[in-house]
Amino acid sequence: MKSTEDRGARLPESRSINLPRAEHADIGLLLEGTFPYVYGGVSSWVYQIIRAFPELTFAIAFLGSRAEDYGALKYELPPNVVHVETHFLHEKRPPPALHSRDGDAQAFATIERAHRYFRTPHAHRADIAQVGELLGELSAGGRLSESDQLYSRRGWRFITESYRAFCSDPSFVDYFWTVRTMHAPIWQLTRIADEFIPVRAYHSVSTGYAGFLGTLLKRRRGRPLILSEHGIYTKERKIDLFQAQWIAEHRGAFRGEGSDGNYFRQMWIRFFEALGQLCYDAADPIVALFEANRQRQITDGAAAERTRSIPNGIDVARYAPLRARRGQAVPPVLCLIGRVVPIKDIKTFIRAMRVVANRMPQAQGWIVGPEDEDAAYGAECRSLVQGLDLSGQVRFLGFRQMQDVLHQVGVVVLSSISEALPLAVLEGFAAGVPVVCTDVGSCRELVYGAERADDADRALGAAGRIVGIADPQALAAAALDLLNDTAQWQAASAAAIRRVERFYTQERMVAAYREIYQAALAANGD
Amino acid sequence: MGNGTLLFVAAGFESAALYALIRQDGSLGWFIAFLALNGLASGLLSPLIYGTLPPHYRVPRLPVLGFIAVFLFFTPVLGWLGLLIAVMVFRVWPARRPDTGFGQIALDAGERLDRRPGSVHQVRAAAIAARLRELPRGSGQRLTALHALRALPSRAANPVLREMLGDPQEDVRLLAYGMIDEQEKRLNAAIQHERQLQRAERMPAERRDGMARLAALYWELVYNGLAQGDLREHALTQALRSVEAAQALGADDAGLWFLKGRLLQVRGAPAARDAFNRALACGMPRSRVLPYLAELAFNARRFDEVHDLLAEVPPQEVTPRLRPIVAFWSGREVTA
Amino acid sequence: MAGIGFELRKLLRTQTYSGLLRAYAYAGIISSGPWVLSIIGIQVVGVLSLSVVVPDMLITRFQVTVTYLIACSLIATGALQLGFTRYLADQLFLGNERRVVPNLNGALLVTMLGSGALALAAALLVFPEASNLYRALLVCGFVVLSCVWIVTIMLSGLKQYKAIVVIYALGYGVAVGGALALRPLGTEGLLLGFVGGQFVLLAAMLALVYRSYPADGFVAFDFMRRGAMYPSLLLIGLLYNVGIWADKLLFWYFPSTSEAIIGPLRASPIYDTPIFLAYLAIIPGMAVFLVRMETDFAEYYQRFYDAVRSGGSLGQIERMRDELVFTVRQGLFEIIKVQTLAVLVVFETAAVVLRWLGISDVYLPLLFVDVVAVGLQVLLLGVLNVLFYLDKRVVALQVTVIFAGCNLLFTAASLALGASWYGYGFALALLAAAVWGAWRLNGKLNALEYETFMLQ
Repeated sequence: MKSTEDRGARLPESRSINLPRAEHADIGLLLEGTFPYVYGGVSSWVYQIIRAFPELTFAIAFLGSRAEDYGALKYELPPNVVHVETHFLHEKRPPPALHSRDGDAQAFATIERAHRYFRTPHAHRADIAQVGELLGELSAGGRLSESDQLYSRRGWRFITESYRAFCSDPSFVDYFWTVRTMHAPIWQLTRIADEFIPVRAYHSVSTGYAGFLGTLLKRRRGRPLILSEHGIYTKERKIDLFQAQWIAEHRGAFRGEGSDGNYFRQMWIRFFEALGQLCYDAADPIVALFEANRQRQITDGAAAERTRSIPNGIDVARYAPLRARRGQAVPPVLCLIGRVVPIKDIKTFIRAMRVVANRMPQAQGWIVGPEDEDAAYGAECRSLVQGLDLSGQVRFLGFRQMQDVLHQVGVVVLSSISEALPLAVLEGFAAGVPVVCTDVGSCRELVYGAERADDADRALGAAGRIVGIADPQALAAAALDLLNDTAQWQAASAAAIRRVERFYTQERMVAAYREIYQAALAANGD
Repeated sequence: MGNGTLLFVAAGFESAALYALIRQDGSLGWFIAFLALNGLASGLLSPLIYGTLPPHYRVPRLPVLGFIAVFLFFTPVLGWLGLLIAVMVFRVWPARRPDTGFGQIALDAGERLDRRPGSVHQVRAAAIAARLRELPRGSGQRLTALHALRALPSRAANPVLREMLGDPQEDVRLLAYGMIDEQEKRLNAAIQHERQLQRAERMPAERRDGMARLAALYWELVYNGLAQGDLREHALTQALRSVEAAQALGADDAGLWFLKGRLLQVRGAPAARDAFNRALACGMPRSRVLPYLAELAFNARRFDEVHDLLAEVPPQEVTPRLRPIVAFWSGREVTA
Repeated sequence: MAGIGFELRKLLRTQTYSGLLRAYAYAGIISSGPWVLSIIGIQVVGVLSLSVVVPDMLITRFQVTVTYLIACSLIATGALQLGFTRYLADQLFLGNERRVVPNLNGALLVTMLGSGALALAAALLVFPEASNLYRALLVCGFVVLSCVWIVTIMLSGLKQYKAIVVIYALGYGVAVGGALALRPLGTEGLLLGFVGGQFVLLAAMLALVYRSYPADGFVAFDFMRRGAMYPSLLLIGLLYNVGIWADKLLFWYFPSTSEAIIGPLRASPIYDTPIFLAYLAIIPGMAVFLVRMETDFAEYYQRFYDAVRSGGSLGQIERMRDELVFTVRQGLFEIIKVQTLAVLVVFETAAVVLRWLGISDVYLPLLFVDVVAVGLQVLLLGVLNVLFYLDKRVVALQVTVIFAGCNLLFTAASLALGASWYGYGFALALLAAAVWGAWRLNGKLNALEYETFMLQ
């Protein structure tokens, strides 16, 4: 227990003080940047799952970037969460003591073959054994330590040889630091894996770092690893990477040649792809939210026979009473439900509100969701509202219980540039509110119905409209269309209710996971 | 005690110290007397020297006084001479001024306009767009091709980026989005910054220049194709309002009139012509304004005027893109 | 601090023979610096005064006093010299140009207080028979010399190499001229002239420095803060100067090789004369060394780190490393070549010169050993400088420990072994330190990128 005290010491007092601790649990939930410190669709889903299985105990390993990026707990922990530990991967850690060394020859040979696998998993299936061996060497007492990577002569030789063989960007110093920055969390994760409490099955809610932790744990402890992917982690990382202002790009302007940052971006992408591949190799089952994402997982290297899709479900009964509370007239309110973060592209919603306001001056635009996750982006959004003279039309309501809001809403709007199976849409549906969505994730399926053999879903009709991303004019037009035409609105509302009641109920989802948990807990380990 | 008196007293002590030092019957006692008298003299002289230092050398006061006193103490007589000479030297031979660095280059609103959209860039952008369409979906080269747009001016690149927002390949879509978002972010931040400054207490001249900058920023949103439909209209309105506000505050420069002309022209307002003429009157080069005046004349179906205006453009100042137009309308061959 | 290197490069780029000569002449004078010039100065005063008026004893007292002043002030300020040099270089790198003058003055104030206290204690306690004027000059001379060593640090960072040469000419002109003019006053007169000259030198250098750097404030003690100076460099500076004087001190206080001169000061005529004459022979080596270090080496060093920092390819980085290694080797070989030449010249001409100067032939064998030894000293200095540039402080510390330790040990052994071994202790100590340093430097240069990236 000494090590957990160490970790606790780095947290602000108020946060670490009440976290439950246990010696063991049934399910080890591996959560990256989500429940219980962040609001959002995935967090709500995790909360839903935990409460759906009161008979099981849960241990949570929360992986975050830096402690200061998170406030207090955003969810009250259900009593069956018996253990929570938090780890921050991007916090500055003191590096291990500096001294030169040679490094283990065999370990570096393993590293080389493992990296060959990471680069082209299909072409080097044979090297997968090396990867397993490599993961083994990473544990305490293995032949590889962080010092070997950072200070050893073999480490140096490996990085220079890789640079010569693969790096298409001239800047060696950028390559060098990209590699170091990239690997730093790996070492931390190996330590976390060494110390995590024993559980009967691991359940990771993404690939990425959490998925890698699951891979390590499964390898060391021999307990099953379940993977539920909401978005596609690797893809979401790509979005972040494309939106990140690239340091090397700035420097390129001065030197007039060389680094455009593109190669390093690609390196990061490949890094997350490799983490994803490792997790796919280790996890069973691999659960997607909808068919398109399941296909994507297979493309990304998941074994098809281990994949399946289980759509999100919602407790429809909780929202049903809202339908009656709305009254006859369609409220001229457009509501965006989601955290105020760049991926939701709140700005496009605000811009669309300019168009709406020009044509329907009494219309209101509400943004319902917490703003604390990316305060700078929140400020940009607010200043955009000012810049477009929309102070009278657009309101930031902060976090709200949807049952208190949805009956006043005419259209649920989702302007995201990327989504999986957004809960906000299901909530809107359950309350009988049509949606206008960008064409991302499963939104098209949700609005127009999924392709099925029996065509039953399509037959239910359109529950709103789909528009392109970053197109405020089209978004506004679609919303106005619904708000101005009561008959269309009623049809969409009816389709929404029918679709959610038939295909997206909580009962369906919980039943599917009950099956998965039972199988995993029954496993003897391998 | 005046400075002169102080100097006199200090010199007296120093002389006494010197006397104590060179007495023939030099015992240790006389040496200690020398030290004491020399110390007194140094203590008295140091504030005087301190007073003659340039102001930036006078801080921190106590250590500087200490430095002078200690220096004087350990270099009896020599130090006196040295410091007195130094003070005189500093007085008549002041230290070099440090370089101030580059002067700021002022940009007027007109200068911010991209003067040569240039057919070259548009051809490049079209080529990249074609490449993006023909490369197979999922190909990594499509991202690289999209990246190549970064080398082009926004005006040429943005239509292609907008097209790619609807691309079936998500990476391409997101990269295109990121590239557009980046520009919007920069411009909106600049606009927000100017607006905030405008809200603060400012001198009329500052307010005027701020308005001119704001107009240019809104125009950039429109010019680079970052605002469509109602939002473009909104940006144009804001730009025009800002120009007018700047002019109400006394701005009367060619760049601003030219910008006003462009704004009005885009809106299809006939007043554009007057604005362009004012720009000319304020000294805007004719070669920059004439093509726009000709365009207005063309739209108003005054073809004679088009001919006259374009004939007036000096041949060496015709941009490549305009060359065939000028050649057609003016009836003369134009070679660069 | 590449101020001078920049100007030297310009001179060399003229591609003319006179430009080359001038570059090396300036470099020789600047790099030999105040302490070699001071030693030469007192030798000149000694030689010129040999037959004139005053008894020889007074001149010897003067020479010995000045030698002690130089030796003790160098040892006393050795630590600060090196530690402060690095501190200033870091500040300039960080762009804190305005903090240079205040901290220099802070360092001077600390130096004056420290060395002043030492000198006062000595003057009051251990010179019972000296005149008061002698005591005062002792204190003043010690403080001024200590300050000169500190201010000298600044010079290589300045571009006005001509001004520096003029200042040296002025300072040593006044020192030698003053000493000669005041000869009639005996030891005190000679000393007064010397101290006066050093004072002129100090004042002129300070004026040059004050005018060259903009400043906010006049006195600061930032360099005294915790972590501002590297303890290892302080130790290296101290040990290097201890190393240089260890053999001389042993000879001064070994009964059979020394005699009492004034108060507690003793000298060893048989040892001192040859070694100080030998120091004349290091000027060409120092010139070559400065030109190499400040031009080619500094340039490739800069390019190497530019390539590392600003995103050069690994190939570029390695090419710069190779160039860097090449210039280091070439520089060290050139020192060896030039010093070998100097040794040969001395071997050929020493007998004639000594006779002409009226110095006994007895000194000849020792002079030969010493000329080789000081040549090695230049080499050692070269190696140490490269180590400082590359920030290999641990190796530099090893080298100076070896140097100081061996010099003490071997010189003591040579004293025990007898007169024919004199000088070999100093020479062997330098050889050991230079060889160790060069060997370790070679290893460090071969692993330069590895250590630059992985171990920093």
